[in-house]
Amino acid sequence: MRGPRLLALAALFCLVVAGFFSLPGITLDDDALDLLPGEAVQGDLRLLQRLGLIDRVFLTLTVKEEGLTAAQRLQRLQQSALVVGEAFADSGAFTEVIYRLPQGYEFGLYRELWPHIPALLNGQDLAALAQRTSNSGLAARLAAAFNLLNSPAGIALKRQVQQDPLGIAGLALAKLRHLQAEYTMVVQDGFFISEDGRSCLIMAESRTSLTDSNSALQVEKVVQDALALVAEEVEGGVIGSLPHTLANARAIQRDLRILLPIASLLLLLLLLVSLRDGRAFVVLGIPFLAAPFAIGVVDLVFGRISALALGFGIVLLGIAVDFSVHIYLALRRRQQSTAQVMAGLRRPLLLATLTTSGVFVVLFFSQVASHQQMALLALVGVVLAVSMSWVIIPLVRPPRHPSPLDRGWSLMPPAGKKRALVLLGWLLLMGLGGLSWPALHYNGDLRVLDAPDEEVLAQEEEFHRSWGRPGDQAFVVASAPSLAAALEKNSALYAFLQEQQVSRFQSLAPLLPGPVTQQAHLEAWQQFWEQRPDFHRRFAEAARKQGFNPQGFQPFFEWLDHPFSPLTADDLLAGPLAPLARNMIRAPGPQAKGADGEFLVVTTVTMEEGLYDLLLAFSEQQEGVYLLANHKWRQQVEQLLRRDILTLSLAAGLIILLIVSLALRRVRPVVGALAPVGSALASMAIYSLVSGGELNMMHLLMGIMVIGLSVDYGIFMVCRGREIASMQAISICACSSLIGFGVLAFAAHPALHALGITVLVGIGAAWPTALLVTPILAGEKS
Amino acid sequence: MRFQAENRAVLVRGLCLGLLLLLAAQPVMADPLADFIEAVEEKSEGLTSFSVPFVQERHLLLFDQVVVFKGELAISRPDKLRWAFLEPVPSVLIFNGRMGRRCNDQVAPETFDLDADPVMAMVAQQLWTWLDGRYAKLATRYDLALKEGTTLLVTPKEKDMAQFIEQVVITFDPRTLRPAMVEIIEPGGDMTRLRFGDYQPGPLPEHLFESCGQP
Repeated sequence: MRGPRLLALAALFCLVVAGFFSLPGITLDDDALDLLPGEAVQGDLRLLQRLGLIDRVFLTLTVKEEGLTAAQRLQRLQQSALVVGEAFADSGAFTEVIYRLPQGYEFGLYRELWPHIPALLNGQDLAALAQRTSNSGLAARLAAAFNLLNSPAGIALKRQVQQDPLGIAGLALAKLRHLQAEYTMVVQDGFFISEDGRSCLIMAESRTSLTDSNSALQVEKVVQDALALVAEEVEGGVIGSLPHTLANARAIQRDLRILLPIASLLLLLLLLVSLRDGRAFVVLGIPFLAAPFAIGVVDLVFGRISALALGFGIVLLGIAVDFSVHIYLALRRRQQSTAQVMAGLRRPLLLATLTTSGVFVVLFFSQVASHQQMALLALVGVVLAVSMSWVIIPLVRPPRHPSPLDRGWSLMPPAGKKRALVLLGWLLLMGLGGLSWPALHYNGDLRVLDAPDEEVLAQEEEFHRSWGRPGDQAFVVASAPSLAAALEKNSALYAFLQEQQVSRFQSLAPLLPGPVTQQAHLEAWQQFWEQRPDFHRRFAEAARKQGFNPQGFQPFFEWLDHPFSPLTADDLLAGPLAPLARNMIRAPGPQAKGADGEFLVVTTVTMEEGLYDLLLAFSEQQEGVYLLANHKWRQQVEQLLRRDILTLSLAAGLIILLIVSLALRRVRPVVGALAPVGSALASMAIYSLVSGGELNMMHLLMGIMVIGLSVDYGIFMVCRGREIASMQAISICACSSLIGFGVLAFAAHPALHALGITVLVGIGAAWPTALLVTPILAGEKS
Repeated sequence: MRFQAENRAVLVRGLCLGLLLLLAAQPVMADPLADFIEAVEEKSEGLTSFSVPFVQERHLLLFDQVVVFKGELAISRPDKLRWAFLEPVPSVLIFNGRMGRRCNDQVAPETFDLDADPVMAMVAQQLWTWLDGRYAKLATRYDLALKEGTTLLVTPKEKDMAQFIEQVVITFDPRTLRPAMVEIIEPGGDMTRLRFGDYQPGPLPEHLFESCGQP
C-alpha cells in the first residue's frame, strides 16, 4: 500500500473512531417542533408545549351498565374517579391530575373570595349593583331575602343573607362560569360529571412528552393499571395525543413487521444472485461506517439531533451505497489494473458526489430544523462514505469473474424503431408530468400523516358525545417576565372579549384580574359608595318595611367599611380552585431563559365567525400576547413549506444543472444525465395527481432522495457509456432501492406509504430511463 | 408479700367477673330512648306516604317580629318530598330523588340537582333527617336524648353542622308517635318552630312531586 493511500486510510479510520466515540454524548430529541418551518410557528407550538396542552390526557370514565339507578351510576363513577385520580397522582407520571375539586369547595371559595370581592367587580358588575342599591332594587332584594329566610334553606343561608343581602358575592361567583372549559358538564360533589350522568372526566398532564412513543407507552401502562381499579360497570376511554402516538407507533410496527422480512428476503436474493460474493456485503456496509461521524457533526453544529433527522439522514446516506456498488462491480469486471479502474471511475464518482451533495446543500437552507439536520448528516455522511469506499473497496479486491447477469446488456440502448418508441414514450411521460405538476398542491397539515385507528376515532366520538363538541378553539397566551404583568395582559384580553361580546371562552381574568386592574376596581368601588351617602338610611328603611330588624345586617355594614385588598395569584392557587387555575398559569422553570423564562396565562376561546381576525389583530397590537390557532398554523405551515419546496427545488435543479453542465459541457450528455431526474419527477407528479393531487412532507423528503439517486444513474450512464458493470451497478442499486423502500408503498400507515410510493414511482421511472433513454439523449450510437 | 400478690390476683379476677356480668346484663336493662325510637320507627314504617298541614314560626333576631307561614308537607317514601307554603307568600319546594324543583310567584320555576347544589343538598338532608321517621340512624351524627317521655333532643356532633344548628327538639304525639312539633334552635338564639296538624295517610298523586302546580 502506498503512502498517501495509507495516510488517507488512517485519517478515515480516525474519523470513524471519533464518530463512534461521539455517539454516547449525542442528544437525541423527539421534538415535534423540528418538523415545522419558521420561528413564528415553532414559537407558537413551544408555547403550547409549555402550557401542557400537547401532553394532556383526557380520561372519560363511563358507566356501561344499563340497569343502575342514577344514584348508583354516580356512586360508581365517583368511586372510580377517586381511585383512578389517586393512582395517577401516586404514579409520578403526571405533573397535574384534575379529577375532583376539594370537598366543600363552594363554601371554601366563598370564604376565600369574600375579603377581596370589590377588587374583582368591574364596571358591568357595579352597574348591576347600582340597580340593586336603588330603592326599588333594595325592596326586591330584601323581599327575596325574606322569603329565602323563611324557606327550608333559610337556616343554612341565614348568615349569608345577613352578610350579603344584596347578593354581591353572586356577582363575583358568576365569574366562575368562565373557569369551566367549553364542555358541557356539571360539578357534582367536586367531580366533573357529564349532563347525562353517565360519564366522569379526569384530566392529567404528562411529565414526559406524549408525542414520544416510549413515553406514551409508559403513560399508557399507568392509565391501564389505574383503569384496572375502577368499578366493574365502569369503562375508561382516553383521548389526546397519547392514543394518537400509540396508534401511529403500532401501525408502523405492524407494517414493518410484515414488510421488513419481505424486503430483507428479496434484497438478500438480489445480492446473492447478482454479486455472488460474501465480500460484497462488507462493501455494501462500508458507507454506513460514516454515519457515526456524520451524526457527531450534526450534534456539534445543532447541539442536538432530532429523531426524524437521524432516521431520514441515515436513509439519505444510503445513496452512498450506490457509489460502493459502482466501484465494486467496476473492479470485478475490468480486465485493467485497480489503478486504471479507479482512474476511470474518478470522474463519474466525483460528479455524482457533487450533484448529490449539491441537493443536500440546498436542503440545508430549508426553514424546517429537522430538514437542516438531515441535510448536514447526509452531506457529511455521503462525502465521508464515498471517500471510504474509494480508499477501502480496492483493498477488498473483488474477484474478477463474470456474473450470470452479464448477458443481455448488449441490447441496450435499443436500436431502430424501438429507439424512436422509447424516446416517444419518454417525451410523453415528460409532457404528462409537466401538465400534472401545476395541478398539485402541498398539504402542510401534519395530520395527513396521522393514522388513528378505529378505536381512537371511536373514543373521540364517545368523548364528544359525553362532553359536547366545543368547536374549533384558539388559545390566546399572555406572556410576561412577571406573573402580575401576564395577568394584566390577560385582563386586557378579557376586556377586549367583553367589548366584542364574545361569550364562549375560558379565562382566569374575570376571577383573577391583574393587580393594576384590581386596584382600579377598588377605586371604582370606593367611588361607588361615596356617590351613595344615604345608602345606610335607605337600606334600613327598606329592611324595616320588609319586616327586618336593620341591626341584623350589621355584618354587611362592617364588611362594607372593611379595607379591601386585591386577590393574589397565591391566594387563588392555595384555594379550592387551584387545580383549575394551575391549568391556566405557567411559571417558568428555575433555569429557564429568554421566552421560556416568562410567565404564561392562557385563555381558550371558542372560535366564531370573524373572531380569528379580531383576535389576530389584538395579539399583534399587544406585546407579549400570542394567538395560537389551528387555522393560523395550518396557513403559515402551508405557506412556508410551499415556499420551501419551490425555492429549494429550483435551487437544487439549478445546482445539478450547473454541475452537470460544467462537467459534461455539451447539451446532449447534459440532457441525457438529467433525463432520469425528469422521469422521476414526472412520474411522481402524475401519480400524485391520479391519487388525489396532494403532496406531503414525506413526498418532499423522499423526492430529494429520488432526485439524488436518479441524477447519479444518469451521470454514470453518460460517463461510463454502455459498460456492463455500470449498467449492472445502476440496476442493482435501483432494484435494491425499489425493494427496500418500494415495499413500504404497501404499508397501511400514510407516512410509510407516502415514503414507499415516492421511491417506487420515482426510481421505477428513473431506472429504465437511465438505461434506455439516457444513452439515446446523450448521443450514443447503438 | 406472697399474701398481697394472691389478694391482688383475686381482686383483679373479681373485677373482671363483675365487668363481664355488667356487660352481659346490658341488653336486658331497659333503655327508654332505644325503646322509644324503636316504637316511633315501628309506627313510621306503616306510613309510606302522607300529607300534613303545618305552621312555621321563625323567631329570628333578624326579623322585627315572629314570622308565621302556613303550608302543607307531602311525603312519599323513600325519596319524594313536597314542602309548600300556602300563606302569606306561596312557594313550593320539591325533592324527587336527587333532583329538585323550587317555585314561587316572583321568579320562574327552577330545577336543581342535589349533587350539584350543596345548599339544597343540605336542606334536603335536614328535612329527611327530621321527617323520615328513621331516628335510630341519627345516632352516628347526633347525640340523642329523651325528654319527658315523648320529646327527642337531637344535638349535632359535627362542628360543620353545629355552626348552623345547636339543637333540634322533636315532640311526638303520644298517641300516634308522629312528630307534632319540631323546634330547630340555632346558635345565637334564633329558632324555628314547626307545628304539624292532622296527618293524612294514603297514596299521593305523582304530579305533586313533579310540578309545582299553583304555588
